[in-house]
Amino acid sequence: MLDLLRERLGLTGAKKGCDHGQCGACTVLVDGRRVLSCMTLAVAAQGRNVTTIEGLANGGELHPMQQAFIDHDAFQCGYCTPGQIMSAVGCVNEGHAENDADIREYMSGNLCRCAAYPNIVDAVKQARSVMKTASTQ
Amino acid sequence: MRRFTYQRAQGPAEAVQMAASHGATNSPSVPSIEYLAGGTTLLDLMKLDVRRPDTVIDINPLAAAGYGRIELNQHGLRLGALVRMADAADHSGIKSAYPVVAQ
Repeated sequence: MLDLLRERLGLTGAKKGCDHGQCGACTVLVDGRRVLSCMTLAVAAQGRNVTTIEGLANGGELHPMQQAFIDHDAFQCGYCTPGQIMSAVGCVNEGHAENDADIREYMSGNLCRCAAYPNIVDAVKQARSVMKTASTQ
Repeated sequence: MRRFTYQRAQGPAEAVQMAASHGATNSPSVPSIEYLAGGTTLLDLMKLDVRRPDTVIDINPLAAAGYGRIELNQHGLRLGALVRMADAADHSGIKSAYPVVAQ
């Protein structure tokens, strides 16, 4: 799926880090569930909804998680960021972002070699609040 | 990755039949088939050219046929072969009765 997205569809937001399912840079949502696109056959996702980082914003308005990553400087080089953000959206939607320990545990599949982890936790907490407010409106 | 044929089995009988129709054996002279479940190992080894199946049979639809079920009762815990590790780790009953498994 990752190669299809990047090489054929020109959606280069999902990144190829390790290509072995170990780094999380290629994370996308399939029917709302986070998956590693490097370890997924595109054909196996036939008829399902695949959301990449390109599909997260609502027109010109950033998704709360994207905005939170900017607000908290939750990246340095930015290479892992699309995967971090997709994973973080999944993490919040699963209800696994209720405290710092949970966020760290359930985001542990996404590596950041710049070690922006503390800021990523802060970003997820901010976005969690915004997403919860939005979902109750 | 080498070219391969992809098939999707809707039930266990169909999965067995699909493999049988390809003459699945360990002989190198007949086409090789592999079942695809989570894919963590198979797809990785296919990309590394270690596993070279001619046909991949996706058995994930079997999860809906009971193979993705977690059963927890007084006799113990039974995990269907297609239960996702994340689902097992997040199962409230497993977390309380089998914390090491959840971990």
